[in-house]
Amino acid sequence: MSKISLVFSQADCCGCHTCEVACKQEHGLPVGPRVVKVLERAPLFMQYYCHHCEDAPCALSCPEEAITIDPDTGVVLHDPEKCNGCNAVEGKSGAEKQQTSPCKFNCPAGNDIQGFLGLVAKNKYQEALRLLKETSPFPSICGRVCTFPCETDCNRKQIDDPVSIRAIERFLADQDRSNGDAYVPKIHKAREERVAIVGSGPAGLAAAYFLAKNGYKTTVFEKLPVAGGMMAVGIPLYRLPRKTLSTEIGVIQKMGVDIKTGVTVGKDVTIEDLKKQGYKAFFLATGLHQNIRLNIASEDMKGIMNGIDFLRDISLGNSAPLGRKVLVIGGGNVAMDVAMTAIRKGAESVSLVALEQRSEMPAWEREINEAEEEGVKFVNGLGPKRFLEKDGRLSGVEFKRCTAVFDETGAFNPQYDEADLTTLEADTAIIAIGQAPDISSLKEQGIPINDDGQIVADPITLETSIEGVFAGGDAYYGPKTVVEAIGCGKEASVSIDRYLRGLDLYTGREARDAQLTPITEPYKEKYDPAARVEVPWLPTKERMSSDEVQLGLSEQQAVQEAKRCITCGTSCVQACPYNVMQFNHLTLKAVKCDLCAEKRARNEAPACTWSCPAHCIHWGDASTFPSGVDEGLQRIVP
Amino acid sequence: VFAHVKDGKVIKVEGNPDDPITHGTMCTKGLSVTQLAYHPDRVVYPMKRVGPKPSGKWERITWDEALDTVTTKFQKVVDEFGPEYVFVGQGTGRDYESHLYRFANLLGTPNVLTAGHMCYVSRVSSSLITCGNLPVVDYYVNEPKLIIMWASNPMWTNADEYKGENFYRAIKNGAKLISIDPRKSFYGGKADIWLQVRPGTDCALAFGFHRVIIEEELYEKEFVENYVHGWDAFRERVMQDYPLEKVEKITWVDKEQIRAAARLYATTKPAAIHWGVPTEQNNNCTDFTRTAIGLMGITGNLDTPGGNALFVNPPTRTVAEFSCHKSLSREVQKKRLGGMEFFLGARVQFINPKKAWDSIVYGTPYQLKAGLLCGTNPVVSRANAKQAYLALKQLDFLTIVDHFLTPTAELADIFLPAGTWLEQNYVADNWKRHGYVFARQKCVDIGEAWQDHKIFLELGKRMGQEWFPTVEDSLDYLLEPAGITWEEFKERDYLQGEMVYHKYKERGFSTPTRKLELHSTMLERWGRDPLPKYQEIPESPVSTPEVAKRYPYIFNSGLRTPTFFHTEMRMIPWLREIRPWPICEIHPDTAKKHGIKDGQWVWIESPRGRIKQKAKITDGLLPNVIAAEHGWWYPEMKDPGHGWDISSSNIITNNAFETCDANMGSTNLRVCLCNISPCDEEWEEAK
Repeated sequence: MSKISLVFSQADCCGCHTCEVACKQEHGLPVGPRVVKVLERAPLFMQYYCHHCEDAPCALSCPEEAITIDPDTGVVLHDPEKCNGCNAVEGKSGAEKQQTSPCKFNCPAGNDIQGFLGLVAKNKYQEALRLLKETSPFPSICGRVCTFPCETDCNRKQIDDPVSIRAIERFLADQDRSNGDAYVPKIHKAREERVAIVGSGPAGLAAAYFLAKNGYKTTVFEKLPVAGGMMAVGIPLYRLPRKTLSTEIGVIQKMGVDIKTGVTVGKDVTIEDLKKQGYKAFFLATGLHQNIRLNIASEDMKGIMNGIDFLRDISLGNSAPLGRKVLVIGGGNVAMDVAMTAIRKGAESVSLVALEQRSEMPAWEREINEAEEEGVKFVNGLGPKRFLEKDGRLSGVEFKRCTAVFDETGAFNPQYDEADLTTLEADTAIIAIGQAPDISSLKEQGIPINDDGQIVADPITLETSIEGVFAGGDAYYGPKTVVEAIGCGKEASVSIDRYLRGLDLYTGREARDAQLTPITEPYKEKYDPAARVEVPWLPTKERMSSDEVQLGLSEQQAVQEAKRCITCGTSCVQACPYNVMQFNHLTLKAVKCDLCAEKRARNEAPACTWSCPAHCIHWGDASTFPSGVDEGLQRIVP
Repeated sequence: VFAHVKDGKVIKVEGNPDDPITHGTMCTKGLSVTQLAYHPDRVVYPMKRVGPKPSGKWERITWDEALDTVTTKFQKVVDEFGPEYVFVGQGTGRDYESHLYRFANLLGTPNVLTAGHMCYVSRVSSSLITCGNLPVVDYYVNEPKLIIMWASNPMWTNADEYKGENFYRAIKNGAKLISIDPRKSFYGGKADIWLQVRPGTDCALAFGFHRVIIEEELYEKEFVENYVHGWDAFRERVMQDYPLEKVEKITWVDKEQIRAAARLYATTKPAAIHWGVPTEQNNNCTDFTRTAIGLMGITGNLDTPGGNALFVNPPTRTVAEFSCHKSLSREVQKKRLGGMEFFLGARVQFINPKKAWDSIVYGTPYQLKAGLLCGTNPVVSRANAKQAYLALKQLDFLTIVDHFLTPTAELADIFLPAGTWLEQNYVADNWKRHGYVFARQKCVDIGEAWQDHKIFLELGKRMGQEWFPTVEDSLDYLLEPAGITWEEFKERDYLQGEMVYHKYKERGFSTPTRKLELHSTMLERWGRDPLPKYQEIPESPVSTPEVAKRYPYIFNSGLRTPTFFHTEMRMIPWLREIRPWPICEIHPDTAKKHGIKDGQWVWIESPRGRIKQKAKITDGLLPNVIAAEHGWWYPEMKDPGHGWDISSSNIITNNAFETCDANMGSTNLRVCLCNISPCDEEWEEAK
């Protein structure tokens, strides 16, 4: 028997919901699980249905191996005998199991966190890594530098502390790399269309990764001599060893993505040129690689540098003329990175001067502490007034007291006492007060830019006012994190895929303000009582000479930590890229489309197919489907 | 449909691929019949109300007691006042009109209250005086090359001849599509031309089509000369009263778009008009139907393969014959409420509902004393529902035949449990005009429910009427002219009439002049305008600008759902899950103006009352139109009102006689004026 396909033609769907009810009747499903679902957005409708994916993330994510792919037909089947509903208990976290867990809900990349934790707990590292790679190209990077919003609302907090998710992600990625050849995801089906991506930061590379997975011929243009954007020239080396980065970028190249470094789009080549070369869609993710200036006198004096340039120079191995007494001006994470990098580069003393009081500083607590441990001195509540010069070089900075950073509305609007002055000696000052985009080349090409210098694009589709040109990442929404950029790049890939296939860009993507229902009671019967494992860090002294200051978990630690997950959601429900896996709150088990296996055994057609008055549902050998039936939707970004 | 029965219970239904109408497809309502038939709230034994009206207090009784109570009461009214003091009624066509009408006719009452005054039968009645039969799109034998989808959504819902499957098959086979709809629906998205018409002005738009066709001489001259009565007068009216600029002003449709659509319709052969019920549910009911039939006729698409055919039904007994319509004496017919006024309705034996409510409430011209309503929920489904509620609450004696205790049933004295379509034997579709009848066969008995036919038969027998020993005997009688018995019919599954096209060429149309009467001799005889015309919607920015100041939006009711049929099905879990709440569609600009968010509860208010529904924000309709669902009540609310006045569009609509069609008595369920505001009131979502 050959592979059986199931395709709902979106063009023919009239939104009558007959398929839904036919399915419910056939399988006796109660209110709740909707294995087939039609989204109404007249005049177009969108069907959610099981695509019986070749690589079936639901099957991958199931730690009980309750979901398998039938080798004869390719139909993805669920075995209720093996399924334990991810430890569902009657009356407890029942109905909520249909929704995603807070970890996935909060993850901008939409990682099936419960799924990979469950697999790690069963020592299935390769499966767990593959599952992660379904939604993110950068587990190794996120495992190190992610701001882990996944841990914020972890339901384990109802018992003790959240699961150490980031550390386990890193463990998986390190395992994968230590195997020699890192895992390379499969390309679904080669397509002819070429897509150009401008900028090789996390947003651009994520878009490239997902487009490549969908078979598009993708080229990434990078202005700098190295790929990776801020991952390569912003994040300090001691946080993210460049070997880690190059491995993950290498995987993307192995998937067929061509990365051209040292090419500035707008200067070396224009979008118009690229169109002529056959590129059909564009994604602009140029990031924020310029410094915000203080705009006070003598800012270009010898001895004054700015943070972004400094970090870039260090990352690229360029010389950075650092003195002995360094003042870092700024209170954010970049300022911390600059300060700690300056210490590593041999500065005798590094002081960080921030407008804000210690408690108001925008940098994370964790990084502030780290900097302090490493010897960075903090001076709070001062704003630079003027630079002092001696022999043509900086000799110090005069500061005025900042009386308030924010106004009543909470807006950044610092007030000063101009009479209360403090002078700090320094031969080097590094200004790290914020980042700005380099928009000159974009503007020239007619890309719409707002007053804040950000690219203007639709918040849902990311399309700019120029057809086929999409934008994302920091250049679009301002400074955010790697994982935000991954999520944005993925959204862009969905838009570009739909654009190139002539589908509506909006359908099914509007309702993103969903709220999670807190679980009624966490599953306490079998949870592992161990306390959260804390990620080990190198002792302060050893940090200065090491590649990486944060260490990974041992296998035993990772497995132990993964077992702490209280499985508040359902792995397969969260793994499904088409949002069709369901949890049946009556049987307390997952439920999915089996393409009416019983009916097929009797040589009857699946229930949804015969009832449809538009005959929009096709099943069987895909080569026999009428032309014009679309291939179904791009995987839906969670 | 095949029903799978296991241990005396239907466990599943599936479409029959050999069915010539559905080709095995089904709709959500049909597919969830098991949840209807075995619903825990379904009433499957007769009951009498034991508390005051409406207390929700009911007590189970035997069929004997129930039937005796009804017949004794009816007999008493007949004896004391006369048979016309009893009314009989039904809702949508459910294949029991033959038996219901026979009961009413043999009882001797002319007062039959059906949905027919504004739905389907009104179209039939106007068609009868114009071309002798109802024109139906020929999807079944041939296929149109162009379809005008005029105010209909057959892919979701339809009770008449049509199933969406046939329409869409024609589209997939390449038929062109013109969509006439205030909303950009599925059809607007697929159409070659979408005419976004102002709600309720379809008749004017039809005149616009005529104008283009006449001006550009796109009509069939031979047909017009030989088969149309009153062509010159009609033509003159079109040329004098309906210049395209005026039609554009009335309908809000760009005149060049009208021109393009009319040309496409007149030059593509065969072409068919697939019309929906909104064209009937206003004051232009009769004249829209007549004007549209005019279009079919003069373009040569009437009774043509692939056009609007006059199908030949199998030779079974018609509803009129079976039910002895002719047995009502002229004298009795004169007592029909509103019969002289709404004479076209009277010709097909129905009355306007306000005539009944006025009779009960005000005693004019006499006071109805007792009634029987079968499969209908008028306190939700009829215009000015508040009056319907008041009247039925006040009525001396009411019997209800239904599946559930609806808000209307709660006002009854006796409840008789009816069987679903799984529990009946009948010659289905006998009242339709697509040329087929089907053998609907009983699969199960549930509780003590009886099929409606049996209820009328047993009631009739107890009242001394001439009936048949069993329902199946009555079916033998229905089938007799076709030369088969019910038992034989069951083996055949269905009968098809022998279709002949262009019958008018042989024997003319079945009208007094044997022609297509654009000038109606019947209307003329009754002293009415014999030519059709467009009359402005009684409550609109045009006709009542002062009302429009306070109520600036056009309330366009009857927005269809894919899951419910009128007031039915709100208790079916599979369906309610898909559509949990009533929806009103609002344009984004309008929503913004009122600070209304998608999914928010919204007050909709007219001079007659206010309701709440949930906003669905869409740019598929004009900013000054609010499209709202009808038929809502909340079976999950356990008080005897069941939320009948919370969300039902008919709290808003008007039923004044001057808003009705003057010949037919069709009420305007569709279009009036309203205002909206966000609803901040806390309301427990009772589910």
